[in-house]
Amino acid sequence: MAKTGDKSGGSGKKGLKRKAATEEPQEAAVAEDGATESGVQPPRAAAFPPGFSISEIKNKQRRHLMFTRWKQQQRKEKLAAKKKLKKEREALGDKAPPKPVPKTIDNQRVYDETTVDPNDEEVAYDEATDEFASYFNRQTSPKILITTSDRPHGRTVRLCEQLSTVIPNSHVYYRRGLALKKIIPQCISRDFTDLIVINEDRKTPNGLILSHLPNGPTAHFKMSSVRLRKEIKRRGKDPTEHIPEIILNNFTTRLGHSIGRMFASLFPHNPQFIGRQVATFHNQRDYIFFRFHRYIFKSEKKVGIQELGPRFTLKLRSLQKGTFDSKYGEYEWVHK
Amino acid sequence: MQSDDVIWDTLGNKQFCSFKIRTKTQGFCRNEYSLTGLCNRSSCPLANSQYATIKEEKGQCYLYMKVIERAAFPRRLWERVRLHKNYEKALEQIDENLIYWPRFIRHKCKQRFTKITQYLIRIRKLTLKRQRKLVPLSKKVERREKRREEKALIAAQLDNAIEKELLERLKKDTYGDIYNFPIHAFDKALEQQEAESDSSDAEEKDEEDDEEEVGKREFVEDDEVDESDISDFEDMDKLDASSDEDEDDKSSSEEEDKALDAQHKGKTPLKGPLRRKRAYVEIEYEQETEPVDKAKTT
Repeated sequence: MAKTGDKSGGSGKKGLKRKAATEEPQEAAVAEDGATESGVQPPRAAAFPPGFSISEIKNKQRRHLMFTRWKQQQRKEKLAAKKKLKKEREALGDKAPPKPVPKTIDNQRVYDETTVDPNDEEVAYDEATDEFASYFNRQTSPKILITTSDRPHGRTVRLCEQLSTVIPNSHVYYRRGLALKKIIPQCISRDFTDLIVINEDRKTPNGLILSHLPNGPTAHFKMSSVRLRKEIKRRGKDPTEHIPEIILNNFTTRLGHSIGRMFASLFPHNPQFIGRQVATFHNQRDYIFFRFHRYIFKSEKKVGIQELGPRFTLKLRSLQKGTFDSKYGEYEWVHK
Repeated sequence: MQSDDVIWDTLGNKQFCSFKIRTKTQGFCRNEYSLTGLCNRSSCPLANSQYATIKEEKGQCYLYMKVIERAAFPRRLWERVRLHKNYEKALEQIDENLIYWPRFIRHKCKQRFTKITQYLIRIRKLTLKRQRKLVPLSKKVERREKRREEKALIAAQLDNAIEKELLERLKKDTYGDIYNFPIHAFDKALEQQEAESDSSDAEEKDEEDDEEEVGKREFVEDDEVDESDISDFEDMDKLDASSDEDEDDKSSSEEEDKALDAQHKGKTPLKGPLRRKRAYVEIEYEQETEPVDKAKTT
């Protein structure tokens, strides 16, 4: 009862503090009451009993208050620790220990056993005998057919056009209700080496099927974040007819290696460096980012790049051994 | 007793019929035995005791008939006749079964049967063509993948990666002679100079041996003083440093650079050997970058 009298007398915050104090055991409460009565609000020297946690306070407002106060304290401590560390580093100067490397997903990842070692004999033998061997031996040069699913809308059509300017020696044909299984033999007879089908859903392209033609693997990707040329900020002028270079980043595992070779076989093997255009397929955490840039060497340590063509990200959904056959195909890898 | 007019007066026209749907212009009949789909006096299955319909089940067409004699037996009310798969024969069957029936019902039955066969043909044709398979997307999975893609994009640091790769390719000399940066020229020149000095040392040693064997006296210059070598290399380093700074700061002028390059490519790769053989004065050269393909950018 005496306590309630105190509460009614006090100001808002003080009253709250006293209320909070009542949560704790009596001795601590009495001491703090004495402190607050002196008129100064001392810093909370937490005299909580062990086993007490802020989350056990039933009242939401009080709980929130205690929590914010605790958070502020934590922040102060953290800042103080940082400052101290910085001072120590400066004091040591050159002898300071190297800065600790922050942990990221990429450097904490479990080592994948299927990583391809470039000097491996088996890998070299596989490469010499797989479906892309003829491309890498310069026996065939790529000829690409780009098409869409039925009744494409504007975005998809424009993406196909822009893709055909990026990939040299490619042709766009519209699908007018033809079945893929019927298109493929025709393509083979006309010497196409690759078939790209852009799947569309609700007026946006959302899938890409890449099929290497004579009897090569078929990869099905989910396509997202498609940006057409006019949507790219600070872009350069349209790409020229020069054959671009290719950059394939982070295709390390066996699966990645075969997909990387698939991408490489889309472009002719003799890039024209005069054109200074580069197409990049960068694999990061299983997302393949495609970019198309024009570069210029300002000095031997600095290069400037300017984004040109369309950009999109792909995520592999399935890799199939033969050409496109969704029912009876033999799947090498399927995303679960 | 079954009186059609009474039924129609109550249901069709004025009061509530649970099969009737009204729109602003038309009334429709939702009854499954309705011949046309409209709510009319002549096509209401409830208000006509003699009625017939065509119904289709799983690709098979049936003719359903109702007569007033069976109005008391709801279980046996509708008589069902399976129609022939052949269109003409089925029409004959309809005629045969509905002989002496009112013209309206006969006509409407045949019309309905025609429409049904047409859409069945269309179904069969469409199933042969490619069918669009709808794959359900899990919203949770989509959201998760979108977020992961954003994070992967940030982690990828694409621009830096591409620039690094391009610079590496430049260092490895995949671009050949297209780009000509002075540091590269110096490095090449250094290597060349070392090679030359090795070969020239070997040659001179041979010559000296021969001459000494002959016994001639000759005053030979002192080429291989270490100090001059060291001083030369020190100057080389200084020049490299200054050239770096100049490249970074100053703009390019083609002529000077080409002249320098010509000097480099021409007779002596370096000023080093030159300096060694003659008295020299230290001169600072300004190295300026070649504007690579400035004219070529469009």
